[in-house]
Amino acid sequence: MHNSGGYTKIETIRLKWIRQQVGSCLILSIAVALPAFIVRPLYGLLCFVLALLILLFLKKPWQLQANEVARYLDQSFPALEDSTGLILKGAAEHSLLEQLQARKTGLVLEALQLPVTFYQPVKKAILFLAVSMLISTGIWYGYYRRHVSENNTQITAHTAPEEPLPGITGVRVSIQPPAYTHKTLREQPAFNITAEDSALLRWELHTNVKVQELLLLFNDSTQLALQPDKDSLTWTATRLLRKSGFYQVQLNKQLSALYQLQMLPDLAPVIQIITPSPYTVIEFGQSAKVNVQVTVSDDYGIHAAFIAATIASGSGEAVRFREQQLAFDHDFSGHATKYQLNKQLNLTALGLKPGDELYFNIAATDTRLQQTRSDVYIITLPDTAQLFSMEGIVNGVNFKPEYFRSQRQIIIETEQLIRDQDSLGKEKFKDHSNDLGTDQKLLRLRYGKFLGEESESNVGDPRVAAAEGEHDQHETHKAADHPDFGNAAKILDEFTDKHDNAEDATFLDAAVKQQLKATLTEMWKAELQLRLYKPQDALPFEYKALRLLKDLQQQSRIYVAKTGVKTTPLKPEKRLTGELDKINPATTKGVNDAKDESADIRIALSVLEALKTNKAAAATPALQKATLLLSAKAAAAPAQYLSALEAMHRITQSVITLTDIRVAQKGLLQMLAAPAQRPQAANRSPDNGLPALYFKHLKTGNK
Amino acid sequence: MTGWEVIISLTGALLLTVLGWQEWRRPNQQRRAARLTATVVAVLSLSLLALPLHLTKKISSPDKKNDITPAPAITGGITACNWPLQITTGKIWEVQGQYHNVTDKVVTLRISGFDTEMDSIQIPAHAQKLFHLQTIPLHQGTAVYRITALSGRDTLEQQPLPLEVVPLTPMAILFLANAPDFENRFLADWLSQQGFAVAMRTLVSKNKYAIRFSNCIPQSLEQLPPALLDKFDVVIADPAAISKDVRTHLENAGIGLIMKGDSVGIHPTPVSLVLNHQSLPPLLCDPALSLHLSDNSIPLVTDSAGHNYVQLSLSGAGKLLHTNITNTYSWLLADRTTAYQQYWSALLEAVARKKVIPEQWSFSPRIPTIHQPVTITLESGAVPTVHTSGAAVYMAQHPFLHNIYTGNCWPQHAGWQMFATGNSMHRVYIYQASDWKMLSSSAKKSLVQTGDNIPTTAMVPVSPWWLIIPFLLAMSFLWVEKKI
Repeated sequence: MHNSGGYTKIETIRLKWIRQQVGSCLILSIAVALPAFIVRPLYGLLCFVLALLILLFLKKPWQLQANEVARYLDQSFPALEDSTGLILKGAAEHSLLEQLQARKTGLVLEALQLPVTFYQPVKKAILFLAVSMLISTGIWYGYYRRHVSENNTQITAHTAPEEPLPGITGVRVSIQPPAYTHKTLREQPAFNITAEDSALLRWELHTNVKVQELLLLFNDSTQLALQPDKDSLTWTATRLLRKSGFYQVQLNKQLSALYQLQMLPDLAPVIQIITPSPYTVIEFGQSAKVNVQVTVSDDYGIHAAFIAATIASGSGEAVRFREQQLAFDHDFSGHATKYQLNKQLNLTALGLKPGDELYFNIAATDTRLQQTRSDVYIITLPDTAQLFSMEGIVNGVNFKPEYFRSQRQIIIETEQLIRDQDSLGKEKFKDHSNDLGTDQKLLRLRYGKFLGEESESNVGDPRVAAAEGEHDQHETHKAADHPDFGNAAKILDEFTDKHDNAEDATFLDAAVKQQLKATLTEMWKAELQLRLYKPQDALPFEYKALRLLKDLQQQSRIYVAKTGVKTTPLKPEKRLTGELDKINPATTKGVNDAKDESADIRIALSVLEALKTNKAAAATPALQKATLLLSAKAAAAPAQYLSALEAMHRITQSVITLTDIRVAQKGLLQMLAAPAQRPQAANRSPDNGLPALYFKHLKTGNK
Repeated sequence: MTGWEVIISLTGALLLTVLGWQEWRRPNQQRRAARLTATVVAVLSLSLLALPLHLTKKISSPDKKNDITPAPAITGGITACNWPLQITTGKIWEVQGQYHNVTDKVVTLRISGFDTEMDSIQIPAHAQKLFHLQTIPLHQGTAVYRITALSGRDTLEQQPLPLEVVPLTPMAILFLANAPDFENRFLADWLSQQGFAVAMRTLVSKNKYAIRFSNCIPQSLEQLPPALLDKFDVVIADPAAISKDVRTHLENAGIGLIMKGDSVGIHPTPVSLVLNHQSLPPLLCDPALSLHLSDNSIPLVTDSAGHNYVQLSLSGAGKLLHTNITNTYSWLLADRTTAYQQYWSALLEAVARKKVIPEQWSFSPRIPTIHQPVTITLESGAVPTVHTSGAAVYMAQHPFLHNIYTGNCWPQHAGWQMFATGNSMHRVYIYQASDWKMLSSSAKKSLVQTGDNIPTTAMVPVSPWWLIIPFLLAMSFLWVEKKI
């Protein structure tokens, strides 16, 4: 009995081990087959079966013998004292010692607990399975995500089955997308076409009857006649797809259903400027380098991209603009669909000085040569020197305008000086006279700016002297004594016109300049006399200068006749009386047809609803108007509205089925928006006069 | 549970625990499970013997000839539902009711029209919930919507919701202003664009008016005689531009009057207003200008602090609306046209004079079914004869109220049926017999007929032998087992 207990134990351990091995084989085969299963379930199943067979064949767990188990137990448990084999031997063959030992070992055996390491194969298999699961998740993610996204961008075929005309056995439409899209030619056996913009469509129709004419009628009233080949059973035609719409096939006066032509437009490239921000100011101390980072993407490919920059310098009215095109360092010959572009704009290298601004925008062209421009971004380089100017800061009450004496003032002061000559001392008299001379000089220089006489040295210029023709004062300078004799530049000066002096060149014309020169000469003479302490002699020159100046100023005045509204002459007797009886404010009149354009469609919806039960009345004007509006929509978006349009056609031709009505209603509903909310007065039923009577009594009763 | 039952069950439980413990702890452990079962059976049958047991049993009384319908079981579905049968274009259509969900799963209740879902709501399992679904119908004319109760993919219930959408009849509005105002200008522009008749008189100088007519026959607005005022449904006026005589006539004629506030306010702040539980975009208002609520006025437009800016009150036969908001045109400038439309539609509707219709129809029952009588009530001036689909319905005059006529008809066809007199017509939807079983009065009538107060169930005492025999068996087993 004891032995049999031990024997049973060994047997159970053996069975456990076999089960474990088979289990781990299963798990391993699952682990191997899982990635294949993700790709294709059938492959996974085959893989699993194969792996299982191989593993079982290699391992052969059922071949485990009991004595091997006994040996394993002996090795693992020293408490068994290597006597497990005795138990297996059988009770009959035991000697006394063996019996005793067997009994002892049997007891120990029965109380045995298997170690954790016994289960190691299963644990390894589970670990392997976990790793395999991770791998399959990765495969699923990579494979399926791409697969699914490709499916989405792929053109989904029209799901409803197309019934061609009787007589047309088959059709093959080949769509050749334009070359720049790098898409291959595709063929489809259906009439409903979804193709890219400017794709070349080629229809090939197979007929089995004698055909006189086979036409394709398009929604924009154009027709395309198909050309037969030799046996007149295959007809072909080609067309370039430019816009969406729908078409039908005409075979010997028989018209087919409407098929859709859906165009997938090529969108213009999208520009996204990541840095810099739309308005950047380069502060003092920052480097004058701006990094422009742009992402340009398109649905088919980018052909080129560049930065169009404009540099504005100067201020006020003298702002000058300079345009430049800066290219990116990237090579666009690959025509990828997305580019990350970088460019470092070195502002000083572009020629920006403080106070200047750079405006730039990115222009990108796609392979269809559609260009988009981004928004204009501004980079400003502020002028720190300007910050130091006191303009606007030192304003206020104490600000005095530039102090100058007008010619009149100088005359007045000269006369005053002459009168005060006796009362003032000699020194003071001379000082005053000199001051007046300085004032006259300043005034002369002021007016002389217009002629380019910026400094005093111009006074001795022989050209000025020659023009006036009065040389008696200029003793210090002799026309013949020229320090610049032989100076080529000076000679050229005499004969060249200086165009870069802006004020001189265009501001005044020659006659005015002559007069101004004459005025200046008089001023000069007056100054001379004043400096020689002879105010009495200076006066005539001052007066002449004033006269010439006045003539000069008033000569440039133009009196223009007043253009404008001729108002009615005022009537002084009526003015300020305040009589309004003749004044009539305007009366505005207007009529608005507040017509809801979709009213016909709304009515058509309920007419169709009525047709569901009463199929008699079909061709009402509301339905016809709705069909017209629906066909316009179907030309623009055939995928959405074409089936509804066909259903409406059938209904208006009195072929009424429930599915047609429902499809038409769905299409019409898609065209509608919620109507505007407007106030509606409540209804009041016609009464028998009781409420009015009651009301009258209420009012009179209260009084 | 009565006291006797409590005593018996407690004693039985105590006995069971004691005996069970003893059985468990008996030295001889054989057949322990069988012994325990026998103990339990014995104790249970003993205690149940002490309690008199009864069973409910159906009795059939042989007197009644008809089949008695059993008491109505608790059925789920739409237990209540109501919806307007006729609305104007552009208004929201609301369907309200109660749904009793007796299933274990969540039920989706939805309204759909023209095969498109309009609105839906989820009803949790084993719940009785009120539902409120709404949509803006896009069609014009008659249509039948459907309310469907879905559980997963099964349709539990589907009922028709007929609706007629009628086109709008425009109103005529008169503006009397003492100064030109942007508010008047924008409102008059919007109303004339919608096809409403607008006449505006603005004082621009002493006794000088600038006058505007849109969709309206030009006439003199210098004096405002009652004949002229009767052509308009609403008058929007500044307080100083309207005289006492005009006000009296408006009150008598039932024409609505909107009185605009005088001043703009000293400290305008952006305030978000609420109209009919819907919030409006923020507007610059002075809360100091809010109106005091008097006893007989309703606030229409309030803000979150409870100040109300627009009040509606009855004045004579018509309505008077005081409004202190004078810059709603800023919504139009900010492109919030829907809010502007909503606001002015609500205000003008609240105040407008009621439109007199030639005849008022009403039909009873609410769910008229095919082959069941339908009562038509007509309020009409002249004696009407009602025609419907080839037949005539003859009306009887009410004995005391001379303008009310009633008549009966039995519709033969389901669907929309038109009833017309010489002056007006009305469309009614006739339901199939299977529609709205729960709500249709014909179904209700059939349920009422069964109540005859005869008891259909009775309590029958259980025979004690059902308990004695198991008790004896259990005890004998225990005795025998002990001997073995």
